[in-house]
Amino acid sequence: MDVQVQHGRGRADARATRARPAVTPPVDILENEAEILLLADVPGATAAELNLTVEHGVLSLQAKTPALTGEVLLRESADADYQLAFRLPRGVDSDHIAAALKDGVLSVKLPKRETARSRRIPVSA
Amino acid sequence: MLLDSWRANPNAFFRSPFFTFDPWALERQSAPAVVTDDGQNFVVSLEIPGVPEADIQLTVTGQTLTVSAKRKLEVPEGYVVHQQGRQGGAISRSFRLPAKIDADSARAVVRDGVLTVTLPRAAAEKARAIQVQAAQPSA
Repeated sequence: MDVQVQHGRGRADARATRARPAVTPPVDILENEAEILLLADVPGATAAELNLTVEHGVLSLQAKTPALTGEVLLRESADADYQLAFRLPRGVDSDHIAAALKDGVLSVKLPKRETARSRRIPVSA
Repeated sequence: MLLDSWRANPNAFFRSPFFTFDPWALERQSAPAVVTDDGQNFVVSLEIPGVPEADIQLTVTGQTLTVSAKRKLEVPEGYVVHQQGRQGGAISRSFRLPAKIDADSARAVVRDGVLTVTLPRAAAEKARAIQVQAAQPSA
């Protein structure tokens, strides 16, 4: 499912309303010619409860995890939401960031600006 | 590449105020589990983001649930990996439940990267409410 990326203000708002503790999800960072690809494990998070914002060159993620019901016999993961901040490298086109959530994996595509892409320079003899 | 400067000095990135240090990450289980008991069922949840149903095997032996799964982290074609924080590989976990379970009625579902196995208590083990009746008023 696609995740909407919000710009400005959102991060401060989300921080103000956050009540539960938060942990940083494990992240992979990949890159190709056209983009940087960020993959984060956020099992239990749903697109409706996930906020992605870009502000001051920082991409922020906030995602809620569902509360448990019944008596807890074992708990290995922290009773916490997800929170992540990633400073966007210069050259990322922050207006065209696309994100999707599938099976608990969030993938965020950070496209490079045309000027930031590496180019092959032909060498003439 | 864009991230080369960051790669030259990755610690500067982690020390930035925007990066939250996560003490759990150092000793994180390959698939952290949560087990709950609602009186009728034991519910075992395992975090297995990105693992398809076909790669999960569940077995119940007596009071023990065993989960085997394989998490493949494939790098998409044409990408360079700068940081790998996610863990892949084989997952094998066993849970001994504190009471007998009805294995035939067990259900399992994968949703949002979480495997949830619901194991009903065996009939004889279910908690029964006992009605308390008012005593007849003595004459």
